[in-house]
Amino acid sequence: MAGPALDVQQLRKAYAGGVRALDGLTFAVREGEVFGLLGPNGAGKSTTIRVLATLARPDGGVARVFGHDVVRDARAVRRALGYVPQVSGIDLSATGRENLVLQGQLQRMRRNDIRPRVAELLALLGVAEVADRRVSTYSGGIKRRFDVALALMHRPRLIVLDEPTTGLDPEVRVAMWAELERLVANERLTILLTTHYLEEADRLAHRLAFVDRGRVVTEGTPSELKRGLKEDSVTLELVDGRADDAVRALAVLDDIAAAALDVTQVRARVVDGAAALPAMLGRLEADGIKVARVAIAGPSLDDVYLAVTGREFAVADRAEETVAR
Amino acid sequence: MRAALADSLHLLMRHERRFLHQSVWLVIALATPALWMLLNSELFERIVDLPGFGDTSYAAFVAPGAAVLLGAAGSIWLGTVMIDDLDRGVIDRLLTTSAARVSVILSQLMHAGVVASLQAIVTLTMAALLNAPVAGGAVGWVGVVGVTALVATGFAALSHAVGLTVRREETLSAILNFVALPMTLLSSALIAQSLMPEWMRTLANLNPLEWGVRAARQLARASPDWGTAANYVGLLAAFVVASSALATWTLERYRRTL
Repeated sequence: MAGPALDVQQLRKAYAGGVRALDGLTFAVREGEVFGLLGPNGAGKSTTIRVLATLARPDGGVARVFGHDVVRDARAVRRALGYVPQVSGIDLSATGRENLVLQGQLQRMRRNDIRPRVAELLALLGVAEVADRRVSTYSGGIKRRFDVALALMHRPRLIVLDEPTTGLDPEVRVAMWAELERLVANERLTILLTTHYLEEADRLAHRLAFVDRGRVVTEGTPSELKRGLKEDSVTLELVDGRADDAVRALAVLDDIAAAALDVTQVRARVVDGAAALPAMLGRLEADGIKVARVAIAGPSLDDVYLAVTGREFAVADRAEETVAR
Repeated sequence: MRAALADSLHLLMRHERRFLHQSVWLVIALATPALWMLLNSELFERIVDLPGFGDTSYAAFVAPGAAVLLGAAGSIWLGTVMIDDLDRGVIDRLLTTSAARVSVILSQLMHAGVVASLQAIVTLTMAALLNAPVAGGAVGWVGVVGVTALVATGFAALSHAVGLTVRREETLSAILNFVALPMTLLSSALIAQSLMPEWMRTLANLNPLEWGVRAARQLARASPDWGTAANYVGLLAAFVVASSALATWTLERYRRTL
């Protein structure tokens, strides 16, 4: 068995002004796998991708793409890897086809190989009809597909996508996910993608790593990570706004951590939601607190993030965004 | 080396395509020298009555220098194209392909040369229409167009170096606006050298634009002084090499901030 498609060890990078973007980041991606790097804004995801794409230089640590070192053997890495940046980088004044042909030329593809490859990608991504229109006329979703096509042009074995669906409409995002899934099957690709959409990672990634402040805090398959929590969440909607009373009432029970979401909603974390529910309802009824609705959910990736960092994902994301501005 | 040149030519095609797509740019680029020659030679027609110009019409005097001046004035703005490409992520994408890094700069400089050459041809054609054809004939045309391309390439490289350093279009524009006027007036593009004050002539000796004007004016003559022309063309070549190296270095420095 060959080595991993991607091997990242103890990657470190600081920017001017002392911002430490990567702080000993370590993970590996197997060939044929879809691997998700998940984390709030500013966690170091983009920096990781840019290091792998040979755009940014790490201060320390090692990153290898199919055994090629990204610093010492950048040429081999560029041949093996396709990069879909967060900011498109496509030429708006040219047509989609012109962009693809130029990309093929710059990737030093054989001349006879370029046109058939363009046709193949246009068909694969379902964008053949618009290929001869200028990119400036494309919708966000179409443009993003061309970004992916550009990265695939020279038949890389690995593509790295930096937030492939950020800024797309929800329907377009779901269509993009289906597209990426099809690519994995058709092109026998290894994919590394970063995202701050938890559901995106859950849907697409075979394995994923949570990144926080430049290091991996936990990794595994989505179901492993969620199973590891051994937790269900039980959400109770109350008839009247007595959430605080309900939290106090539930505190008496063993192995239940309840918190008020707002005045009419309480969320409790328990090992087994279905088993714990009768006792919970009984306790509330005894205190005269009426329950309008109950929902039991298995653990989400959000719960995983909360468990490993002690922060809610969305809150961390917003906080980092505020700092970044 | 050959591969780097091929990369540059492929990227050059991208610039030319963009230039052709934006028909406004094309029209302005070609109309400017024609309009400029017409208005300028009419306005200053009588100036050749002053001593120093010799026995010539102003249109004939000004045409070679005007070609060089307009080439420099246009190409000095090309750094803004680089900033636009930086902002849109185009440069980052190019840097992750197998293309030679130097081709990113080289292609822009070639583009500057192409546009300036076209403009020089328009300038000389307009001069001919104003009854002031290039005295040196075909050799004169080739000389003026070639010198214009060199000057444009050098100034485009400087503009890229500044653009890649400040990385903001507003800042670059402010700097260029500040530089353009003194650069123009510290040259003999519009007026006979002998009419310039002594101190300005001294400063003009250091101005690459002036090197281009002197070379072009010499080469446009019926019987050029080849030694003088070669001298200034040599200086220009050195200027192009130095400014291109500087532009390439600033691109490398930008990359290190990523």
